[in-house]
Amino acid sequence: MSLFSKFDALADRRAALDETGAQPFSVVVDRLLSPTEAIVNGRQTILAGTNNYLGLTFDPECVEAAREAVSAEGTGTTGSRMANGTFASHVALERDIAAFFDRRGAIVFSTGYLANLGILSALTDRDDVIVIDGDCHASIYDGCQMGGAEIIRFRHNDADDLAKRLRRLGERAANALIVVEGIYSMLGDRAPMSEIAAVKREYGGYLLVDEAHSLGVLGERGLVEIADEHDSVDFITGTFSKSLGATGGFCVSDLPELELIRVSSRPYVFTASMCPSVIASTRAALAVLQRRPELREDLWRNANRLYKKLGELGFVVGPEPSPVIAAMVSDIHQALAIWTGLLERGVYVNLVFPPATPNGNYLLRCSVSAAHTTAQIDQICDAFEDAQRSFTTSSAA
Amino acid sequence: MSTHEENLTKLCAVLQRNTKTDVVVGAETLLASELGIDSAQLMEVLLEVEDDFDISIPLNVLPNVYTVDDLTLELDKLLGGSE
Repeated sequence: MSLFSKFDALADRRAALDETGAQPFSVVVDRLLSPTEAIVNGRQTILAGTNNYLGLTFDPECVEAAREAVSAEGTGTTGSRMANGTFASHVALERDIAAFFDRRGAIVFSTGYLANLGILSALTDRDDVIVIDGDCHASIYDGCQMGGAEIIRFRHNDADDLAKRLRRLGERAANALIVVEGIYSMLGDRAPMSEIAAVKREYGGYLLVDEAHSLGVLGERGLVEIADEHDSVDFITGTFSKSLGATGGFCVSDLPELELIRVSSRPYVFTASMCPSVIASTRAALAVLQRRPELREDLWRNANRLYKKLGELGFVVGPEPSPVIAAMVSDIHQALAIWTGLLERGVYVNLVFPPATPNGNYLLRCSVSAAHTTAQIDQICDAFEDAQRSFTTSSAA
Repeated sequence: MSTHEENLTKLCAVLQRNTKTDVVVGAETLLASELGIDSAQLMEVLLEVEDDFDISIPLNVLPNVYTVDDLTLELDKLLGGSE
């Protein structure tokens, strides 16, 4: 058995995929035109799978802030936060984020993935137990695994199942860490926050909510805000790479121990810190998010329109309207044909394969932006209808 | 407290009703591959196993679980049975 034997099954699947001509995992964006359009495969393409919820990647204020920072502070920090990589701007961003969430403290990480990895792995060890929603993101699973805690999953969005797991833990429940997400990345559904918080209050423990997909989407701050559960939630993590249009991640908390996590978190200590330009655009985007609530209105108008239209076209979509809208398909050939058909018609969406998806479905996952025009949303729908019709026709032939 | 054999019998019954192949589930049956289900489907089946035994199976134990008997040994421990 060679070092690479473990890849045999993957190589077979990759080869089978290549034979179909579809290349969903090697899309190259040749040139960006705007937050919602790019040249892909030489064709002008509507970007409908970028999680650029508020469309701020080309916001003039954010771009100018980044430009000024790169001129003043250089292209990178060349170091870890624990060494030479803490600039005044990192501290200022942490102050901004803590104030924004009305929390005592904040830590920023170099990516959203690292935020979950860094917090979960430092917060827990082999003596602890973490109870996570089964549909949590890979960064949460990886962070739990890195810390070495006992990991228990509960049925997706099922507060009763969470309660059952905590009951089974007995006295250990009082020190358990519960982890859920504001909006789940696969189907765009949100956690039943008030029910989860009620279970946490009944059994004790700590509650962490990942607002990666809900920051700036559900209210200003995410699901915890709109569910009015600030006091029930101990930690909020998230990313700057979606609604804030940059990269980086964060954790906020009222617990003073957060500062101790900073010095014990390997994904915080042993990686280079955020670039000054990224910090600057993130801070600018955070200000824009708060100053321009109309962006959220635009986002939801587009989300509701796409969700409704895809449903009317006969696609099975997630359980509720959301800026993440996944058309579920059970057949791989249909999924590949429609995904390729969309790209040929100038629409890019994400194609997600099981087992990364719930219920073994293939997902043609769209994410909409405040920056999409109504005409673009309609073009996306038209492309779905046309690609589906072509597949049906070719299958019948 | 249930014995290993009792746990094995009960587990086999749960797995048998979830299998997608003709396999007769026994102690040496390989989880997932011989049941004809993928890793995600196995996780769903485990939720049913957990309910039937009224326990939670930590994900941490699964990397070392290959056969039905391996899983039964973990159930034995979680149920407070023989080490």
